[in-house]
Amino acid sequence: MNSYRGIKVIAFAVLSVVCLAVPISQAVKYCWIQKHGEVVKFRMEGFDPRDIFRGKYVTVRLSPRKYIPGKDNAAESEQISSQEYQTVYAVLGKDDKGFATIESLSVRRPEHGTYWKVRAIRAKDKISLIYPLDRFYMNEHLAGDAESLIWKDIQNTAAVVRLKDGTGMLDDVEINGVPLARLAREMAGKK
Amino acid sequence: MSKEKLNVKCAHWLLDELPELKAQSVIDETAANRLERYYREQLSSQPDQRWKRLSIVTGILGALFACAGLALIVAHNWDELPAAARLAMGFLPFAAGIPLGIYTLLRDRGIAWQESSAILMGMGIASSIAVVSQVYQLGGELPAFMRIWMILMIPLIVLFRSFTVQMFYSIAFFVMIVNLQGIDDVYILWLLPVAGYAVWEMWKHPESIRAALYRYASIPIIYSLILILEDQGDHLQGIMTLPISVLIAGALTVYGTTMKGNVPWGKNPYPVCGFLSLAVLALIFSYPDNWYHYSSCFLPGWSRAVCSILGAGAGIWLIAGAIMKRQWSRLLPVAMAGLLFPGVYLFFGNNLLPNLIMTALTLGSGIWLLLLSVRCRSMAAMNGGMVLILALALEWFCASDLPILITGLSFIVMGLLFGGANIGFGIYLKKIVREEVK
Repeated sequence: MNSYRGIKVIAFAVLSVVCLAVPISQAVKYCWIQKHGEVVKFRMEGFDPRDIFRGKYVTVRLSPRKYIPGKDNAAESEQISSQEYQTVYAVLGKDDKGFATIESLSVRRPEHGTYWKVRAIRAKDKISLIYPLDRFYMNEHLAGDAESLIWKDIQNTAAVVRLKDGTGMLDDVEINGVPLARLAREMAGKK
Repeated sequence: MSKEKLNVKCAHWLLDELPELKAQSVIDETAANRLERYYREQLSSQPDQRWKRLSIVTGILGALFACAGLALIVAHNWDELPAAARLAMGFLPFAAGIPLGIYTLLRDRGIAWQESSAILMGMGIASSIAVVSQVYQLGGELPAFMRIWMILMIPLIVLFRSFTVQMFYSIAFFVMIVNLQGIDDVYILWLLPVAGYAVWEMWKHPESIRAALYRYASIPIIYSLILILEDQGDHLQGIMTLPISVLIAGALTVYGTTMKGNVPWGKNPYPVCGFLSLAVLALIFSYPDNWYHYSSCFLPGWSRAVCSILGAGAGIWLIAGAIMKRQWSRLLPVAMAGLLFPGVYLFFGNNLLPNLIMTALTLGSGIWLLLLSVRCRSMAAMNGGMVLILALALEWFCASDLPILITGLSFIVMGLLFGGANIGFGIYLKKIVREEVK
C-alpha cells in the first residue's frame, strides 16, 4: 500500500468517524433529554406537509407566540433587539389547565427554573417568539388522520416537550392526554 | 497471450492491417485467416471498453435509484418499531458504505466503484441524519438539514473524485438557496470548494469522460451563482430560468461536436452531454407544474426568447446533422422536443396539451432508443432509452400522491431493472459476437 493510498484511507476513516459522530451525538443528546428532561405541555396548531428525506410530519406551532413584558421585567425585555431575531431564554410557568406560559424572557441563561432557548424579536410593547421545534414526524398513513384529529379538538391538543438545560425535544403530541399516534391509529382502524 | 491482458487497440489495428498485409504478400491467405480468426475470438472474450464505460453509468444510476429507494423507505416512518430498530435501519446504508469505501480506496478501484461508494456514503449520511431527526422529533427546515449533509459531502467529492456527489451537492445547494428567505452573498463560500475541485479536475484531465461529466455537473453551480448574485427576491423566476442554463449547455455541447465531429459517439462526451441537455429540457416540461409555472411566471421576454431559440436550434442541429450525415440513429425524438418547444409554447400556452406533447416525445425518445439498441446492438442507446423512461417514471411518482413506501420500493425495483437490463443485454451482445466469429 503506497503512502498516498494510505493517506486516503486514513482520511476516509476520519471522515467516517465524523459522519457517524454527527447523528450519534444528536441521538445521545436527545436520548438524554428524553430520559431526564422536565415535561412541559404547550398549546398548539397543526397540519401535515411532507419532507423528502424525513417523511410526513404534523407542523407544530407552539403557543404562546407573543409575550407582553410586565413592569418588573421591562428592563430585561428592552435588551431584546427590535431589528432581528436573537436567542433568548424563555422562563416557563403553567396555567390552571397545565399548559405552558411564559413568565419572563432573559438574554442571559437563568440559574433556576424551567427555561428554553428560543428566538425573539421586539415590536413596540410585544415580543414575538420562535420555538426551535416545529415538526412531529408520523407514519405516512397516519399523518392525514392526525391532522383532522387536531383540528377537531384544537383546544385540548398539547405538544409535550421535554426540557433540559435550555434544550427541548418534542416527546409527543396528545389530545386530552391520549397520544396522537394512538388516536390516529384507532381512527385508521375504524375506516 | 491468453494469460496476459490483450491490447485491444493493437488487436483492432492488426485486424485493420490484415487486408493490406495480404495484398502486399507479407503474409499468405491462410495465415491471414488464422490471425483474423484468432484475434476476433480473443476480442469477443474481452470486455469492450465502451461496455466498461457504460458499466460506470449503469453502476451509478443503479446505485442512485436503489439509494433513493432506501432513503424513502426510512422516510415512510416505521413508528410501530422501537426507536433502536429504526435508528439501526437508518444507519444501515452508512454502515454498508464504510467497508465498500475502504475496499475501493485500498484496492484503488475504478470510476464505477468510486462513484458507487461515494453515492452509498452520501445517501447513508442523509438517511442517518434523517432517522435521528425523525425518531427524536427534531425541528429544522429542509435548508438546515441540507447544510449539515452538504458539509459532510465535500470530503467525499475529493476522496472518491465523485462527479455524481458533486452533482448532488450542486443540486442540493440550489434547492437550499431557493428555499431560503433571503440569499446572502456569503453563500458563495459554499460553492468554492466544489467549484474549485471541478475546475482542477477539468484542468488536469481536460479530455477525459470524467472532465466532461464535471462540466455537466457544474451547471447547477453556475446557475446558483447567478441566483446569489442577482437575488431579485423572486425565486420562482429563478427556478424557471433553469431551462436557459440547460439549453446553453446543450447548445455548447452540440457545438462541441463540430470541433470533434469525426470522433465516434462512444469516445466523444460532447454529443452525450448535448443529448442529456435536450433530455433534461424535455423532462422539465413533461412535468405539469413546471409548464404551468413557466407560462405564468414573470419571466422577462428575452429569456423566454433565448430559451425557445436555443431549444429549437439544438433540435434543428441534431436533426440536420442526422439527415446530412445519413446517420439515422441521431434522429431522436428528443431532438424533436427541442425543435417543437417554442412552437408548442407559443400556440398552446398554458394547458394540458403542451405537457402531453412533451411527455409523449420524451417517452417516444426512450422507446425509440430501446428499439435502436436492439437493431444497432448498442448498449449506449439502451442506457439512453432506459434513462429517459426511468426519469419519466420518477417524475410521475413524484407528481402523484402515492405513498412514500410504494415510491421507495418502486425506485429500488427501477434500480434493479436498470442493472439487470444492462447485464442481460451485455450477455446477449457477447453471445451474438461469438456466434458471428464462429
